[in-house]
Amino acid sequence: MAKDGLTEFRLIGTRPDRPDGLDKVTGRARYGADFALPGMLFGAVVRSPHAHARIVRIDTSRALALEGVKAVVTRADLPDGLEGEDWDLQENTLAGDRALYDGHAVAAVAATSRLLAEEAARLIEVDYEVLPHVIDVDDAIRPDAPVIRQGAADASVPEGMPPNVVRYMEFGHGDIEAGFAEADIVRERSYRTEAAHQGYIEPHACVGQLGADGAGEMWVCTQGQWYIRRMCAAVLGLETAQLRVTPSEIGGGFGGKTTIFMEPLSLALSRKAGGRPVKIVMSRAEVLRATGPTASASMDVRIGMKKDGTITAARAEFRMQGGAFPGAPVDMALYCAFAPYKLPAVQHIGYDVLANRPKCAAYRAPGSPMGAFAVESLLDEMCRELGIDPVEMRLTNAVREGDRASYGPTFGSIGLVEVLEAAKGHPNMAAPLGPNQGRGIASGYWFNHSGETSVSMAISEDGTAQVSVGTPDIGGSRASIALMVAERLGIPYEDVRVNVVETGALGVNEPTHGSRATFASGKAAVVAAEQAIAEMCRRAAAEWGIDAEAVEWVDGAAQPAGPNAGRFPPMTIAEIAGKMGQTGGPISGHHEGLPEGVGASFGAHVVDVEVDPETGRVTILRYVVVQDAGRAIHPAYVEGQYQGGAVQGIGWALNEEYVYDDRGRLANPAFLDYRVPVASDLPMIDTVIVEVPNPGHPYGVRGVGETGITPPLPAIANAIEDAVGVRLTHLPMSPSKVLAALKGRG
Amino acid sequence: MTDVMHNFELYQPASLADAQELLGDHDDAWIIAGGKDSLDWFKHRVKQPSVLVDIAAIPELHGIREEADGGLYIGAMTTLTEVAESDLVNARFPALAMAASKVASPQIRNAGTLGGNVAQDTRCTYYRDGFPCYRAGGNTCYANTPTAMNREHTLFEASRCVAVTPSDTGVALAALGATFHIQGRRRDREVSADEFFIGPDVDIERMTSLEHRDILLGIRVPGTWAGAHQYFEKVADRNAWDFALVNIAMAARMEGGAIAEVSMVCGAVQCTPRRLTDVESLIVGETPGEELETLVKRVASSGAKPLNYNHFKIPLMENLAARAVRSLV
Repeated sequence: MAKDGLTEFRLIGTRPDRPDGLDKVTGRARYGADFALPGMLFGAVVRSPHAHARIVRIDTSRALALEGVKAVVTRADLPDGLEGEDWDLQENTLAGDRALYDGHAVAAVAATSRLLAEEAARLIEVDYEVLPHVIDVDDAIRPDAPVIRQGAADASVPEGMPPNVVRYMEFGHGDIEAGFAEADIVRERSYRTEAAHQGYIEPHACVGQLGADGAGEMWVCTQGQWYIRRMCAAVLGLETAQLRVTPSEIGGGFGGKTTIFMEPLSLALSRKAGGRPVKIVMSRAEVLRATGPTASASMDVRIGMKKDGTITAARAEFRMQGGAFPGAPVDMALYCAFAPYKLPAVQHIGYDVLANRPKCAAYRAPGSPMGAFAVESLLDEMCRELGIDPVEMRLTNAVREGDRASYGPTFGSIGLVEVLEAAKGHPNMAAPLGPNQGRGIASGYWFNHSGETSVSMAISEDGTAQVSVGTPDIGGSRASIALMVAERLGIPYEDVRVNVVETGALGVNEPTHGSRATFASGKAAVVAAEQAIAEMCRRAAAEWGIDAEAVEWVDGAAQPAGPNAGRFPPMTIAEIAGKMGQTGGPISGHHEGLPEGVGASFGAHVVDVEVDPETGRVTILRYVVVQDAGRAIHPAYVEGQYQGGAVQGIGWALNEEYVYDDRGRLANPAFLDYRVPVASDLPMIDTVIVEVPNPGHPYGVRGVGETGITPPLPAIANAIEDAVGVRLTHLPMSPSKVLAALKGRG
Repeated sequence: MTDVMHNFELYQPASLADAQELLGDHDDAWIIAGGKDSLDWFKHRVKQPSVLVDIAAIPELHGIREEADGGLYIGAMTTLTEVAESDLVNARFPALAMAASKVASPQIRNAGTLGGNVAQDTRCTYYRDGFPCYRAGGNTCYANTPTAMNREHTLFEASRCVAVTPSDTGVALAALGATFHIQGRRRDREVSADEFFIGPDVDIERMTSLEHRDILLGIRVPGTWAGAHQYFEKVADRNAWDFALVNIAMAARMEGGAIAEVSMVCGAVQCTPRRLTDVESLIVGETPGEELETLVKRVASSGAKPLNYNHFKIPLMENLAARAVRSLV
């Protein structure tokens, strides 16, 4: 399906085993909790049981008196004077004068065993004065809501806004009122989504060691070792370069492992314990209570449409709470909400609101699923009212290359139309539907991202290659990068080993986020490989006594070209590498920068559901993900990303939610009650990889990790209406909600 | 909330006599069967008994035996997988086999026992979170306030506490008229489901009539309903690893197209399995069909007192009762 379908590759597009696969199935892979060092202590964290409380007194004496307890830290052990995001990180690491949410860390202790550490944590006495709290975003934005933090609002917030609004945004283009006036119908609805957790299987885990001299090391499961380094250094007042952070194999991240939680505590405890290493492994309850879920959202959308399906104007007002700190992804939600549509007039308004909940972290296409739930639901409802096919409506309004995006920029090469055409032609669109069965379709969007990237590659003595990347592999990026480097070097896939390295080995890399690893590290790795190829051509040319420009690289070997063609037999990479010690030393390549040419990714999902009108249960019958990959370097892992995104979206749509009790305590901090879908809840997720190559990447990569979580929320809501005629506007669409909606319909 | 259990002494007696002696020696001894409920309590540190008596090694607590009346005697330590896959259970009491097969997940069913499934504690999140509620010996209910989360709580027979029975097999066993064989300190006794499962009006701190030094030996399912038409259905948020929002079990005999005898029990709507006596008396002698289903729906939930967030359980319960009757057509 590639636009340049004539291009042929030797390895790109094949499906070899991932290099980490055997490690993972045999147990050889080392995850965060697998590290151990001599003399290691174990840490435990004391957490607030209150949603909002003044910390009156912390008495650590009983804990310290326990034999085997080596250190206790409270906020008093951390430096003062931090500002902005650094202050937020420090405040989230350990509460200052107030605990801001249920699960907020208040103190930490290190002892010679995990059991002892837990006992000691219990002996730390904290006196709280419970304060009024607020959980729901619509309550938190009220003028009389309990104030989470005075003075947290940034300059974007106009005078007179309610106290918990910390960021405000308003943007758009065109004459919105004229657009609505031009429409045949204008509809406005309100929608709500609940906070959902990334739900990675591996809990946060680290081993930290910090000496009195400020030199430290950390082994940690993370998506971004440099972020861990910078944030820990900021929170603890250390020199960044004195910390060395090594990422472990990672058991899922989905954005949630791009920031710090207990990592600075292990370092602070280690320093107080005379430099003994301290290991902290979170329990599942800690992960759910105190690490980043995504934001919850309350959204109003208004759309004007002509009878032929043309959208004349659109307006979105989103309110999101991302916990007790600024950072709800309301901006991203607004950018993505109308991105698939060419709009003559659009207005976006957004509020980032504080509430007594954990600090939200990135979660797969942050913000995009919420906005899509609102916009794609309303569009479906309007198509239904006007009797228009929802795919045709999407094609009518689809953005194409050169169109102005709803959020401002002009799109480069994009594949939305190709995606929608592929969805239209998919066999599932023609599958027969029985009673109480329905079909839903929705689009989704993610920008994709590049960011700070540094990659080194080196040729080994035997002609194999090693690539050092700074982006932890959360979805098969090592396999993809190895394929691209092997393709360019002209050597077997198995001859390339990609290592995710520690902070001492490369310049600063942003985490694996924004679907960037295969794009950015991959692009840099290809440049590095090209540098090595140029050097190998020079070495061959020197040996042959001809100009380097007269040598070309073909199938893993240097060969004379042009007038010299055929004068010498090709010199293989192994031959060149075997004597590099005599010909000028190591052969390597290195590239760093901010790789340009990011390619956005559109997707469309088609889902068939059956609703049991007597129990309210929704069963997913068929599901297909159609998405533009640019080019699938390793199609199996692209499919895996599509399927994984869809499954997380299905969970968010049907069952997952943060449930807070009336005291502001998380009522479901376990996978039993925080209900991610299980295997028997899901059909096989079909995938269609559309390939509209990204001209900004040597092999056309766009990035595929995130768009897939966006369409399931509205697609399932649309399918439910198609099946039983009720429109659900508040997630999750669990049996209780569906049954209540059916009952309400009478 | 933690994943690390407290320290305790673990005893693994190989005979009932040894088990009884251990229980006699230790006042706070906690009997552990499959451990699927117990270990959660310990990991969350809400219950911290100093002595555990693991009864897995006692031979007479295992296995499924045929009884003279056509019924079955099932040892309390028989796993849920064994119950679900037993040819005897499937032939005679498919409602029980189905109920056992719907508990939690395959891994949990491999370790979890029938005795443990009926004796497990309630899932009220406030109670399990360690709140000092009535059930925990305190003097308030946190789940029954104007703003509390109570989606999974009672419709019936609340008495201060609004927690519900979480057991799937308990509902099937109640419908099948099972009796619960208990060895006490001095003598054995056998009690009906009505006596085994107790509500907060009887004892607010226990879900069953088991007392200290009582060991549930086994469950006797009488021949009464062996081979009769049976029905079991569980509705939960997920297909696996979830507790019921509402479940239902029914056994019935037909004569000439009409319902001759019926026993119908609903779970997760009150603290004990709820016998739907109004439905039973309504449908005996009647012919299943749409008309009867409509009537069943009218009476199935009569007397229900929903809390703030569990109104949906009323239509759910009504529809499940109607579905059970529909299965007789």
